Amino acid sequence: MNPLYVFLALGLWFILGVVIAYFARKRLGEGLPDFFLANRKLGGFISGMTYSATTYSAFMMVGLVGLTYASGVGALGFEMTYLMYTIILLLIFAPRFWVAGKKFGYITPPELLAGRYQSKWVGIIASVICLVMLIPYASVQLMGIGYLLSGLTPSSFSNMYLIGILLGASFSTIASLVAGMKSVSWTDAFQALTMLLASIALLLFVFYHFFGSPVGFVSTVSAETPELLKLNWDLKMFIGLSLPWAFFAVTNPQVSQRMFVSDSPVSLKRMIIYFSIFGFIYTVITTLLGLSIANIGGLSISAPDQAIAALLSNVPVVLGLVVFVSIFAAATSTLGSIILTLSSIGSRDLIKNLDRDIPEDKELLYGKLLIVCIVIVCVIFANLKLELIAVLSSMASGGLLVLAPTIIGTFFWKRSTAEGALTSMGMGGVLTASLYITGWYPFGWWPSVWGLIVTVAIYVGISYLTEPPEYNEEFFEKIEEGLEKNGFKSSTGSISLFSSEEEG
Amino acid sequence: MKEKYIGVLAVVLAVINFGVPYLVLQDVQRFTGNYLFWTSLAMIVILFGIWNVKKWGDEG
Repeated sequence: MNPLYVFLALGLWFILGVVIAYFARKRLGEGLPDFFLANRKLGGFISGMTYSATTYSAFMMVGLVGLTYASGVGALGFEMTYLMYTIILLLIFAPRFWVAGKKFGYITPPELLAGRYQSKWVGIIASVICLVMLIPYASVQLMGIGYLLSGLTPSSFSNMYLIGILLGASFSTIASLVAGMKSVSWTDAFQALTMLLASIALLLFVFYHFFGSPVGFVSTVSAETPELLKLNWDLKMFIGLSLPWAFFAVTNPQVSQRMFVSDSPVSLKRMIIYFSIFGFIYTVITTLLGLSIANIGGLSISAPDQAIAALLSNVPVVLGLVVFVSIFAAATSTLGSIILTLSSIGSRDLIKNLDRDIPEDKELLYGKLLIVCIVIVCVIFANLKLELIAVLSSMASGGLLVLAPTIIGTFFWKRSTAEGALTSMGMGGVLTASLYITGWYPFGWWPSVWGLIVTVAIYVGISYLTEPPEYNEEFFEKIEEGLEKNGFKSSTGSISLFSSEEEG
Repeated sequence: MKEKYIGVLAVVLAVINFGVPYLVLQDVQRFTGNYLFWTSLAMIVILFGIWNVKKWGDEG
């Protein structure tokens, strides 16, 4: 593809994004909740779109398309498992996070854990795990942009990889710095719509240009590559990959922090509905694209991750550019959200814990400085192209899974203690990381499976051996009170299908 | 308690989500096999979610 077109498209995109970010700056207050949570005043549509754009990264159009192209329907099952469990977790946890944020003023998920367990160390350990796991994951987003840009432009143009990294990093930094969560969420909404519309346009073009119609596509796949419709994934791999993603909604702070930002229960409800619909459509489209590519002759594909780039070089230039920009958008929206969340965690849960008397304006300044520092670290990591980054990145979701028992217990187990939380996160984290790094999969089961089993056992065991803080009762009462007051426990009984007793 | 039922449902969903594709549909090489199964199951969960949240905020 002509680099001039690519840079023109990116330039136009960049300008639009920056304008949106600056518009978001209007009426921005000066406090920490203003910057990191848009003062908890996001409406349903923006909440839903920022949730979608944050959770769905470039992995969808690059990784998932390639995975479906290479291994078929198992990829759909893996991604739908993530979607279904995210919806279920949001039904249970979104009201609780939202009430806890409103009642206690929590800004970050680790701050919530520290408050509930009455231990700053619980917050610190959770924060360190988030930073260690998410910086490589954020770097991989930049690497994705770099590879895509260098893959789409002629090889005679050097440094395209580095230019891609710098462009992605600049866009995410601007989106995060201009107005914090407000500019990130507004640009996320713009990016989410671009991702969805571009993928729909591409799928329609593929159906009608290469297969004649959607029916032609179905007949071709059924006749030419029926093996892709058969489940080829090994069960242990399927569970090992799906398990961390099933808990993603509560273990990944960049998405769980979004349960704090809606302005009302109605907006929270809309966030879940918009995300569910977005996720379903986007997942179906990406997997259909993967199956399509496997049935289009003449594409030169050296590795599954190259599948989408190969397709883009065979579609009209304008469509190719729009889809390229949408993949750029998917990467930068995920990156911007991670950067902002990590900077809030760094300033709130690490720096603030070291110096309790730090004034709020200084804390905010540190937060903004951290945004720049985290971006620089990500750029360095991405440019080094270390193999370790890929390992750490794939470890990210499995590693963050060790937070799951502590987070679930926060709201559902009064007997749980800070000691149980600390030991389970610490030991579970070390065990999971060791298994990933050494590549040892005991009895063929993935590190995430072992990590979760061990973490649950330690969390429960140590909690029973130690005394829970008296504060637990008070915390549970306040959350229940907040749920009642805000209409999350409707007297009409939203699951009366199962029993008439569930109202309480 | 509402969450208890959603929790039970999550476990039942896990059994169906892994059980049906691997025990019943594994060798089916058509769109009406696992592709239709997972998309249908996801749609059911989405509808369940929408139905569950529809009263949120009504009594706020």
